[in-house]
Amino acid sequence: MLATAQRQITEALSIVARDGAVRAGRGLSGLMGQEIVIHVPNVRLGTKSDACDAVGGEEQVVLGAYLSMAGDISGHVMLLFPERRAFECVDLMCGQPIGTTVEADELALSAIGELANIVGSAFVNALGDYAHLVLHPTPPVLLNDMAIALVESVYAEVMAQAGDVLMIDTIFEDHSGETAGLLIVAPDPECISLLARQAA
Amino acid sequence: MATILVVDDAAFMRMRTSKILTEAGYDVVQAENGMDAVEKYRAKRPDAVLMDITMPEMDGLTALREIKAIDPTARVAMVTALGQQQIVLEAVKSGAKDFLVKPCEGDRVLAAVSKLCA
Repeated sequence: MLATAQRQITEALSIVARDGAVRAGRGLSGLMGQEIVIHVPNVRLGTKSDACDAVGGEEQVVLGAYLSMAGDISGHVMLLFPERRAFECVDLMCGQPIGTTVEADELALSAIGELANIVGSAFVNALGDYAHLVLHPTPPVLLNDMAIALVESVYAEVMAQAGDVLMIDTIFEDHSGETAGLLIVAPDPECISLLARQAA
Repeated sequence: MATILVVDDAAFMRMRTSKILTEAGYDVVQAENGMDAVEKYRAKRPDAVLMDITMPEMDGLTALREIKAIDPTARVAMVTALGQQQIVLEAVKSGAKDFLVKPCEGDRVLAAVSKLCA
């Protein structure tokens, strides 16, 4: 029953992820004054280990941000980048050559927070529209730690029932190149059946 | 050229907005929270203010009220995230002249500042 619901949610969220990517691309393009295209080539359920592997391994230092989802359903959204990829994103957002940003200073963390705010909010809004749910993203909380520490915090919320979370590979592309991150979406376990009914 | 006070707790947003304004020829003063904004307004008397709403130390709405108490003619536009309509209404009642919704495009920032300074 739960596995069926998870499959329905994964299929629904694949559609939502593409819509969210379009919305986020539009928001980022407006913010940065140049066209930013976001691709979501892979949407899948994954374990804690899968999520860590997607950002370079458990001990990889990652940068990102966490948003919680409130409203008709609750849940968690996390956007993570391996540190080097995060710095590339900051350079793209600041309109400076790739390689300029070399540390997670205030400007870098702030840029990643804004990026996560736009991407996470776009996804949450796309999900709400698709499933006819009223959903609100909270402001982003910045993250900078080893991958396993951050991923475990989300998995701790869903391990009791589901075990896996939804992982969306996310590629950001502008005229000068592309960089990639990982978007993790985890509706709280008690919300899965409700979301499956809405998505059916 | 007019001086604009840019108030935002996010360093990236301050940098980006300041870049848009300086490239258009404005002088820019930055503040990173409401309290900082009130102090900078008192010291610099800028021609206009772009004020974020959600900030630590002192939020944008409180800072707007304090700035209007210092200078009732202060020209302030609030910068808001989606879903903060109620706060925007309160800001308008407190004397805000305009509001911008994040993420704001460069043209929109310049149009708001031009209107404030007119």
